[in-house]
Amino acid sequence: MFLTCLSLAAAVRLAPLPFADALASGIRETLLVPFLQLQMLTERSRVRRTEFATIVAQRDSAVAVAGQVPALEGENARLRAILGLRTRMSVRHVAGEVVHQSLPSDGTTLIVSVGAADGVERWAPVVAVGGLVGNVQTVDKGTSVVYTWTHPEFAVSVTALDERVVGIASPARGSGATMMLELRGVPYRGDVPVGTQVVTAGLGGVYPRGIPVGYVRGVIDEREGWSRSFLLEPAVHPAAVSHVLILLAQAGDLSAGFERP
Amino acid sequence: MNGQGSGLKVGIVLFALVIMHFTVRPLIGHNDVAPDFMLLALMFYAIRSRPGYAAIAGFSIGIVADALSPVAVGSSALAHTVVGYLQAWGKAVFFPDNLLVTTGFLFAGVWIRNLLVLLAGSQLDGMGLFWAMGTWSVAQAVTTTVTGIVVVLVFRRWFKIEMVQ
Repeated sequence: MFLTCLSLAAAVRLAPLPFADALASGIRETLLVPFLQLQMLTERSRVRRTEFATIVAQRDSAVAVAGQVPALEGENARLRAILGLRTRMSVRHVAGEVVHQSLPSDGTTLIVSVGAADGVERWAPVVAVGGLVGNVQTVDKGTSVVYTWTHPEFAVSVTALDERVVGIASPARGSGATMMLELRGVPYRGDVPVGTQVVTAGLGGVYPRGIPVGYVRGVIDEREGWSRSFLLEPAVHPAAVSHVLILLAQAGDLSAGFERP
Repeated sequence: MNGQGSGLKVGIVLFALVIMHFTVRPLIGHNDVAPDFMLLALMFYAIRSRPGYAAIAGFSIGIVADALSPVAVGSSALAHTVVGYLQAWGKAVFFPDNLLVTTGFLFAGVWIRNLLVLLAGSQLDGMGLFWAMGTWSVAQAVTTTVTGIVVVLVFRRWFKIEMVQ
């Protein structure tokens, strides 16, 4: 029985991607529906509790330290950042909760609590408060699977310094287990200062222009007289994201929706 | 207590662990460190059953975990199958009804599962794998083991685990 199970598991692992995706999707849409509903309910109740605690804290702050206006302004700014992205986003979108899982691979893919019933389609760009998270790979009725930028197959065309620099960003390993991004294909003469914000270029038809992808941290590779590669600090860490926005329509430039550093 | 009644009670605890995986786990701290209740249920089942049945249970839970985190579908099924089988097989070699041995079994189970998932999924190598296994996996193994020990202590009569060696 052990060898049978092992062979089955190996066969699934080596099966073509469409079959594996269909199998995973089938399990999510049948056996796991009640369990995922439970987890989504838990996530929602956690958010509501946090919101309630924030409201109570604000009320207490207002009553107890009415004179400490700067502190209240700071709290307000933090809450506005969470809600603001939604109001600033000029394109049709839907908000979803991230349903995190226990495997060490969580963060490479994310399950989000919105699906086909909410208008989500495959390849739809996914963003969070800081910037780009990834894109939708599989759409079920009530949930979607997002491939984040940490996925080995992820790549996005990016630009910086008002389009003077254009390249491709893909995942790279930072020090230790930290996931970073690598900006490749920048012409040798194109210098990019540390701290420069890198945004999506809007090429390729998947991601609209202007979504922050990361910030330059330094040069990691140079081909003399040919090209340079830069290490990017990601704008968003998928494993820490609790809410995302999924864009439902094509958009032009979204840079106004995100705050500049 | 007859064997059927005991089995039913253990079954209730295992089902409760699966439910807790989807309801309690999201409320506990950092996702990478929070205990894996579903793996805990598999390991408790495995150390009380035959290796073949434990492998089937491992495959079933693994394929469910693959559906929830579909980076490399099949890698989790493979890892859970191996862990389930090894836990049940280890029962014959070691003495499982003992708190210390159970602690070791639980810790090793989580750590080996994470290692196999990452290796079978070809997701990390070199320093990345070393860091992931040396930090987050150890942390998750510790929290899962502590949770498992609490479960054992609360339900020790149902699990028939001895308190001393």
